[in-house]
Amino acid sequence: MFKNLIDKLNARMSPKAALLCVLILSLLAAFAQPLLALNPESRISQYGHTVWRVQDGNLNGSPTAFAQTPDGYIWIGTQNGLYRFDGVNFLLRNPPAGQRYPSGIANIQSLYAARDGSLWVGTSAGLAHWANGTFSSIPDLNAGVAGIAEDTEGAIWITRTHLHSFTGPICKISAGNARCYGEPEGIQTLSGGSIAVDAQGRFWIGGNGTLVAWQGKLLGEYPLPGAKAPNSARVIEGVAVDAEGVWVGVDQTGPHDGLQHFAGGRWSSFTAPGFNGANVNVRALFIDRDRSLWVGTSNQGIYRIHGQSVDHFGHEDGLSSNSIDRIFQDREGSIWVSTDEGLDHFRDLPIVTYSSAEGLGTEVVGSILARRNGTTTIGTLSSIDSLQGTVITSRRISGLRGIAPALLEDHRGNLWISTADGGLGVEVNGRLRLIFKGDSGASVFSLAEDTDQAVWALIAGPHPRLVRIENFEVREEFKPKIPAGYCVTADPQGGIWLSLLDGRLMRYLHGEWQELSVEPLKRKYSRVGGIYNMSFDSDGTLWGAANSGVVGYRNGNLQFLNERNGLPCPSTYATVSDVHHDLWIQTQCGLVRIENAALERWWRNPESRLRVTTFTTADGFRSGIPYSHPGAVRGVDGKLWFQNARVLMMVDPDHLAANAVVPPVHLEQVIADRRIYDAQSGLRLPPRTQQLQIDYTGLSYVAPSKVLFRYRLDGYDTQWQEPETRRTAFYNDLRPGNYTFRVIASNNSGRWNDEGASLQFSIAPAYYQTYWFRAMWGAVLVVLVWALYQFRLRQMMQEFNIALEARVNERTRIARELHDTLLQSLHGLMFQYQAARNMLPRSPEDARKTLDDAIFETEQAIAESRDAIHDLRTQPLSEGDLAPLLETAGEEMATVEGGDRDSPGFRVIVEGEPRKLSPNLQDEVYRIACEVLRNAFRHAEAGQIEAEIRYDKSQLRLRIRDDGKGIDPKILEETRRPGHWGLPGVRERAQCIGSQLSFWSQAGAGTEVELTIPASIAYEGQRNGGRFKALGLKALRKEWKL
Amino acid sequence: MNRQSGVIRILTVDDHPLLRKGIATLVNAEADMKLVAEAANGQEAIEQYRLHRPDVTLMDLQMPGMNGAEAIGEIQSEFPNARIIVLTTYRAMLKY
Repeated sequence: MFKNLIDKLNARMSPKAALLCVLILSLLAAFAQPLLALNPESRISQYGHTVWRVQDGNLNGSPTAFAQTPDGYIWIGTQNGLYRFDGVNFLLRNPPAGQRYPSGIANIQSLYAARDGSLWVGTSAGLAHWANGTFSSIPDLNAGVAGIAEDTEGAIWITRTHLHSFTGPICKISAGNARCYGEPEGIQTLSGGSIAVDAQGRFWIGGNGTLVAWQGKLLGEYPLPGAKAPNSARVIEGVAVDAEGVWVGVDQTGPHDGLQHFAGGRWSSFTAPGFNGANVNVRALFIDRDRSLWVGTSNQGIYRIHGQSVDHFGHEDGLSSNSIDRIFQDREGSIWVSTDEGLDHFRDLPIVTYSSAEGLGTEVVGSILARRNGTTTIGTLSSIDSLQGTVITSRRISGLRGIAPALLEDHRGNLWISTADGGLGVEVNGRLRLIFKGDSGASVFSLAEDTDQAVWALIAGPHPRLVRIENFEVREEFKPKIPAGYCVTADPQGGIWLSLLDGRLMRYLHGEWQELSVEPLKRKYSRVGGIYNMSFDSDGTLWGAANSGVVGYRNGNLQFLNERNGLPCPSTYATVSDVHHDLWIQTQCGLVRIENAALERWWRNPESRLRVTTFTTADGFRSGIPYSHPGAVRGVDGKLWFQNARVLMMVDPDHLAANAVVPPVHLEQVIADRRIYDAQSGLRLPPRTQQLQIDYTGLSYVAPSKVLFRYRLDGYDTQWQEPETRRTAFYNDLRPGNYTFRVIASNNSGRWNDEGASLQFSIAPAYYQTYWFRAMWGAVLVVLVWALYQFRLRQMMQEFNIALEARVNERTRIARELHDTLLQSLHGLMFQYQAARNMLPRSPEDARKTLDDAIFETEQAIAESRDAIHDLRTQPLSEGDLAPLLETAGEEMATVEGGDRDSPGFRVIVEGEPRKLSPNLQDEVYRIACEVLRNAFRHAEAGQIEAEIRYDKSQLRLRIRDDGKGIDPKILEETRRPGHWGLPGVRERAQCIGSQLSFWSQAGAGTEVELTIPASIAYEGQRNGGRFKALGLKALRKEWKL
Repeated sequence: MNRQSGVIRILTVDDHPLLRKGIATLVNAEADMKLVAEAANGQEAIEQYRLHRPDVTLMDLQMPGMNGAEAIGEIQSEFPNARIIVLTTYRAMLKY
């Protein structure tokens, strides 16, 4: 009937809808990439199990719902809000400020990640929606939302509970509004719970005592068995659907309650060995990708039903609580369980462990043996356990006093068992036959059967010895020639190998003992240590697990493999080769696999660094030392078995639980100088950002501690950072500019998401870091340089002009002097001579007198001209000091000018540190001084003439004074007295060089002439600098009209 | 105004004493000429002109203070009938 129903339903579905359905399903399949699952052959207790308890403070209330959005985040609904979880951090995601959940109630009951990437949140009072970071709530539902599902067309449907009015339990959400269906559509149940969607896109909804089939309209409503009326109090809490039918769970027990199955229109209960579905209070149902049905109960933890095999896991096994609310499977195949006390996470592990929880006889594993019939035999303290498939059978053997670390299966399949008291027995046809009895303190440590079918037993204790057994009888005893050893193993090429406590390795072949010296290794690597265990690969390689590495022996080569080759830690306990000749090494810190290709490389170059895979505790490895020989074995099915004296560990090299899901990478936030920013590309950070923190995450939930990240900041880093588990990157004092932060991540199995995530951001420049500012400064600099250049140009032009002017002035002066003296004199004389000539006929006496006068005046004119010429020729004066020049000039004048008078005394006084004057200026000063001195000598009638030169920092001062008759101030006023004194020329000169000239004179009290010249003009060296400074400012002022 | 009829009264204006002396010697040697005043610059020339009203003024052009050209202007504006002979040595000086 169920099949009929499905056929009918299929017939009703339009071809278009069917096509769409197929399309969506194939899209889903493409999107979901490898959807992993949990190995149903493992017991729940063998899965990796992680618990986050509410009491640890991770969550603010009991978790109630799960969803995983397409971006990879897992969302957890609780009684008090919504959390986003990345495997490490639970982030409470409240509605944005100003918005709230319906009625303000954050008690979340259901979550649904829609295909469009948005998240639907059902609370006890309504429905809310997160889409692209925007929150909205759907008005007017006024009920709890227990189930959310998406139909094949992408429309969202919800089911309602705790309705206050009979407005229908099933609603379609479109454009932010709800349209609800109920009685008018023929729905009898008053409220709707969980929704399960089948392969055809039909909704199976748990109601009050009825199961509702719905696809846009009511397809059918099926009351639970044993109920007449549909609206009973028997609420269907869990619904799960697969190809065979619908599983329904009721939270009460009874023949028609608990776990029920609906198929072909018929209800049935489910029973399996040790399990009766009618006796469990069901809260949640879930069918995982391996078609295992997970049953969450309200008081007994979880059951997993796979075919007829039922497994249970409860609080006593480590579940956070026996009261289950939801079960969920994420993209990586892990199963999530929410209980009223916390979250439980189950994942497949590469290393599957077996302990007493899985049925081993005791909590001590003494020895292991892989039997030719496919079973694994485990010697515990008191029993011999056999593991075949997943079934462990434990048996006690009478006559044995405890089991010792050594087991052996001989060529006939007989099981050799060493006893705790040092004895040795063999089971032949089910009967135990004792080879030898034990003696106190002794124990058979290791057993081996050589190619000649002789059994060797290594006995430790007070009397350590090695014995050879043939036909169940001891034939030979090596004592005391052979000292105590760790283990004995048979060489497939014949003979045996023995490793001794003192580290030596011995071989026995054809009745001869030979030592394979490990001394060269010890010399080279300083330490090898005792070899605990030996194993032969089928290619004839001997591997020895030693205290500080692994010893390999092949074709006469003895080599040593340790941390320098990439082993994660030195101490190794056991080795075993798989069928691919990959070597598996049980070490102190994990189970290490080295692939055959790497080993071959190592055989060629013993120093090469090898790529090794290490399986750690996160992969199911349990550390501890195996005391048995052999320490690790390989079964006929290729599975490898290890033990650590407490648990048995199994690895299936061909079916390693590897996580093929590429982890999504997300940038979560940026913190710049304690301010939090959304990690949105195009982020602009303020100027002078000093501390930058970027938080990112990689979403792989199998083993978050094994998720590795690499990042780089384009614009700063030149290469990728080394892989690390940290989920934060820090940068300090980044320069302004554009950056792109890139991060990639790998999952626990080393599968990298090479695309990763990136964030483009920029740090704004401070005003002084901007281009325009720099450009402005550049411009200012250019202008400044230009101004300086212009200034210097002008200065040079000015200097040139001054020099030119000086030359022009000088010429003018010469011309004037020529005119004033020579020409005028000649002219005047000519008149006199003419007068004399005119007088000559009339009065020769007057003519003679006139001629005499003229002759006298000609002499005077000659003298004047000589002075002028002397002045012109007194060049150059740039060399030497002013003082000696003046002294010479004064002395000369004293002799020349004095005439008949007593020549006045003359001296030059120098004050201050003499400095070199600029050459042109010295010339002018000298001329001025000479002029003044000459006046003094000629006209002052002085008794004493002094020239005082004072070199000040700020100026040069020259004073010339006499004690002569002085000049009438009136004459000074007029500045010109015809014919004498030459003062105007002096004044002109003084002005020309930019100096100050002042006269002081009093009739009868002498004359003082003072010439002051600013230092900037006067002194050489300072001249440029000083003038530059003084004029520079002036020039700038002029330039900017300041 | 002390006029000797038949004698030409002359004022010389020149800043150079030797030239003035030469002119004086030359003028005084003539029976019908008499040097009545000397001036060393334009300002003096005006003053001496006012004082002596010479018949002829011998005027140098290039002089310190008020130069000859200015003095001629002044004198002529005051005494339009003044007779002035420019006596200069520099041809270039005419430009002043």
